[in-house]
Amino acid sequence: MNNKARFSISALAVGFALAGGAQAAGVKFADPTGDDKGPGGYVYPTDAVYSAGSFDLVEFEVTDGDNADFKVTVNDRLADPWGMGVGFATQMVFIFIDKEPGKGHTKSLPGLNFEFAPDSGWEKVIILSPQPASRVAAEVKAKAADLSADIVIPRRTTGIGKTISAKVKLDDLGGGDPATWGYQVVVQSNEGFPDKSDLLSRKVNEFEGQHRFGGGNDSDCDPHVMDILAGKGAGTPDEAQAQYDMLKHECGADGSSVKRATLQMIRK
Amino acid sequence: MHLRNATLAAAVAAVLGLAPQAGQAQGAGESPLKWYGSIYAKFLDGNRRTEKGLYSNSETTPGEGGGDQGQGIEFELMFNAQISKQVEIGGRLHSRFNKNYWSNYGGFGVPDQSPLFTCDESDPRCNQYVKLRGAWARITPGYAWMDSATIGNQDWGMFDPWTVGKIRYIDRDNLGGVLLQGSGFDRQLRWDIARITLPNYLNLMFAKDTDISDDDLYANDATWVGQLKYAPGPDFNTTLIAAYAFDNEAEDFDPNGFGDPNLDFLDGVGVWKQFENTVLALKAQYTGIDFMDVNGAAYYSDLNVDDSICAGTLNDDCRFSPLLKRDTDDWAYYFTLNFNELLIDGLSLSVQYFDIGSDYVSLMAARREQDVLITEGQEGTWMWGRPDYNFGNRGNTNSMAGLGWGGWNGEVQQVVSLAADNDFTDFDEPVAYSVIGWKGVTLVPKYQVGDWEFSAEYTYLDFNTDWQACGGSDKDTDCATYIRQDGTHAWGVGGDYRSPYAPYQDRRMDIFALRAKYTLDVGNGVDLMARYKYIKDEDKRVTKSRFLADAYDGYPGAPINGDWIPNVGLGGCVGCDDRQADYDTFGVSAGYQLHPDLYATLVYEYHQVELIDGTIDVAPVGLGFEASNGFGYAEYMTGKHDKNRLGIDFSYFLSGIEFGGAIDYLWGEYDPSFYTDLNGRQARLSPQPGQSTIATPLGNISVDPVDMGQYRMKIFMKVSF
Repeated sequence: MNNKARFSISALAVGFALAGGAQAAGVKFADPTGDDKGPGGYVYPTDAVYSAGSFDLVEFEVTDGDNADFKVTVNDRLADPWGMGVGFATQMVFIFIDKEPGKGHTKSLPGLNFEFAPDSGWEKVIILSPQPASRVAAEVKAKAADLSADIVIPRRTTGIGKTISAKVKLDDLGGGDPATWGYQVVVQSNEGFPDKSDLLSRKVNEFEGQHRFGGGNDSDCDPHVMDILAGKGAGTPDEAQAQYDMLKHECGADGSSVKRATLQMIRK
Repeated sequence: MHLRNATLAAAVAAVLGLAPQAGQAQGAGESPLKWYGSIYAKFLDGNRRTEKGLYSNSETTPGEGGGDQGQGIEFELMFNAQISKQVEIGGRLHSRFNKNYWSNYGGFGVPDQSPLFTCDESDPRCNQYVKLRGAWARITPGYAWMDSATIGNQDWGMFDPWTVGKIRYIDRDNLGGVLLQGSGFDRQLRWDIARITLPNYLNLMFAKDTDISDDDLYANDATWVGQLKYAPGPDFNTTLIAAYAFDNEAEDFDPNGFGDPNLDFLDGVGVWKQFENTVLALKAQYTGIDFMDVNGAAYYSDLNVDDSICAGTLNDDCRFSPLLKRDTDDWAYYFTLNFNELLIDGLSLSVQYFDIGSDYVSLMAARREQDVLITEGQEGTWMWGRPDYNFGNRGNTNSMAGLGWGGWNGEVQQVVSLAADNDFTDFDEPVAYSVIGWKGVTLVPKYQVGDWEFSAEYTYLDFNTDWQACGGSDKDTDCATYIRQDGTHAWGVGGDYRSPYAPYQDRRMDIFALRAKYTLDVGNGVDLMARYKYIKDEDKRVTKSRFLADAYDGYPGAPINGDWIPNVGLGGCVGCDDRQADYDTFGVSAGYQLHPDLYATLVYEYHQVELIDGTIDVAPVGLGFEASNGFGYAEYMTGKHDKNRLGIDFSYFLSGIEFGGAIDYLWGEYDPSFYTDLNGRQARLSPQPGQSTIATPLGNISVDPVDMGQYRMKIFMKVSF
């Protein structure tokens, strides 16, 4: 093959790239950095793949259009140390959507260990996972069958730079205007070998381990999340405390739940 | 397929402290012991018709693997228990494949092709016994100064692939040690200290027959490693790592024995150090700039080796080793800028500068499954698979031990180990490649717009291993510091993946890659991908005529082709040994969710290499026992290589069970060409009418094109319980 052919291939690729159009803005939320501590005291696992900032939610954006782009940005460059093939590996994100305030599910998904306030019920949740969509669907079928009609698994989820994104058709979300919806974005970790009751999410224990979060409780009375949206979703420093307050919970001496963490939806 | 690694990693991660949840409230009388595990079955088929194991590749130990036939099943049983609030234990039992074919009937029925092994009930490769792979106890005493102590086996993934890397996946938790972990300053500071027992295969001379002798100690050899991580805020973190590995041996004559070997043990026996390897690392990351993140690391290694261990020659008994053969020290660096949004929305750019010294030695660096650079490197399909281009010697266990002409489908992962390891891998998995000596710059722009994803790469590569006679004047003595391994990093197509040292090198490489992905909104959505990659790899090898005789001395240490007439010094032709390799790769694929549980991808790739590896008088400098195509280590491959791959990959999930597979059909041609010395320049040599072969140091090479073809299939089932 000669160099002329090689340059032609390159030029063709650049042409394709430039032919793409700009996306119209939809709705965007920000979250402060450094609040990737769940209710305030959670710490990362000790294995080097869980790099600093990799569960720290920074921005959430939904673009306009019938095939909306849901983008979640964290505070570290994404990596794929487990060979998932989609540009990221350790993160898993749940995007809960409240289309009708006062209605919807108040319980969350298995393994997350929190609930939603009655005025913040969710109608749809989008799961951004590096696992194949078939695997996520099989887990949903087995562990959250009663909610499966409202769980949306994108056909393709990818990670580029610091952003995990997926396209979802508005029809799959029941239509409507995403700019008017309430959201809660829950950053968790992809666990390929989950507990029998967990939906591919990673445990939080009292002491961090090589592959489990620490700073929580060895039982399931604590919320298993590292970062969420809080306050007005503007990214101001006080929203860190708002998050810690929202994730407050109480565990009994035997590990039972005395008070569940209760989340609010965030709206623009 | 990477999922095998991912699921294995996840499974072993689980045994190291994940699911099922330890410490959950238990009912009265309920055992704290949790059992869980997996069953993994593999089905191989192919037209190489080799059945040395249920893994596509194994090169270290002929007879251990390198198969494309058969079916087998593994059983893995894991356990953990929260004994008390302060004590947790866990472990893993596993029956491994090797040659556990269903056809061997539990170890009773298969004759082995190697006289070294029986493959009967007494052969652990075949008897299907379940074996303890690892066990650990974790103590969380609640002290202010220490968070936890872990005693036992684990994968040691909390460190760094340049210093102490994760251990190879096949027995990820076989390596034992003691790990203490703690934190301070409101967890802004975290520390790890470990003593990891050194596996004997990381001995300096692991291929030396006399390695295990009366005075060889190995059970207390270890690596000490400490790590301090400091993160005062979300925007900045830094890590300091220090590792020290040593190998003690018993003294033959203790000074207190007055030279009498019958007395020297009475008051104990002293030790001497066969080697010491110290590695220091400083890493830092800053993410406080809106448009850009910065990270970098500097590594320093120091190696002290007892001079009596390895002979001071090029191809001696320390040829295969994870360490150099003489005292060395060197540096390695990388520095990466990540522009998260460059000029326009959706465009990002990563720029990495890296410089890895020729003498950088880290005994415990990752050997596989980790990637130290952002470049995608070379193409796995051309990685050294011992395809036997010229002779097709099926009876040769060395050349048949690899995974064949098709190479690896997975990505190439760069490692800084001198013992990069691809044993017990399948063709659909990544391949590890040693990048000791690499220096250069990589640019990786990525652009996401609408339903399109674009990425590209340009890498400029220079080499710290560019030298003449390794910086001296005589390769046989001045290159004695450097292990030869398989000796073929820049020979043939792809080159050997673990041999960074050539006695004469003046090499440059450019990597250029483009990739586009698009989801076509038809039915369930068709995931389309197209890619193109070009690699230019040039090596002038000997650049000064005064070195020609030293480099091309007629290969006196090699069993060379008797029909070839030695041409010592290449007649003074400096350009006659020049290497030029141009690799082109085109690939397209289409993936579709055929059913909610089933996803399949159809792949077509075309690979082409145009290679000139010097004239017909040129073979790898310092050629040793590996000479001759018949052996399979070094082959004559000048010419044009075409390879087509049509493959289908699939994955199928039901709750708790996964099926996956890859089926490839590869076809192509090797069209040899020949070059000779024409008035001091490299010139094309046309065979005479009726001439069927041309003599080279590596054999009499047929002038006719060779049709290549390979069919291979791997299907697996994994059930987790």
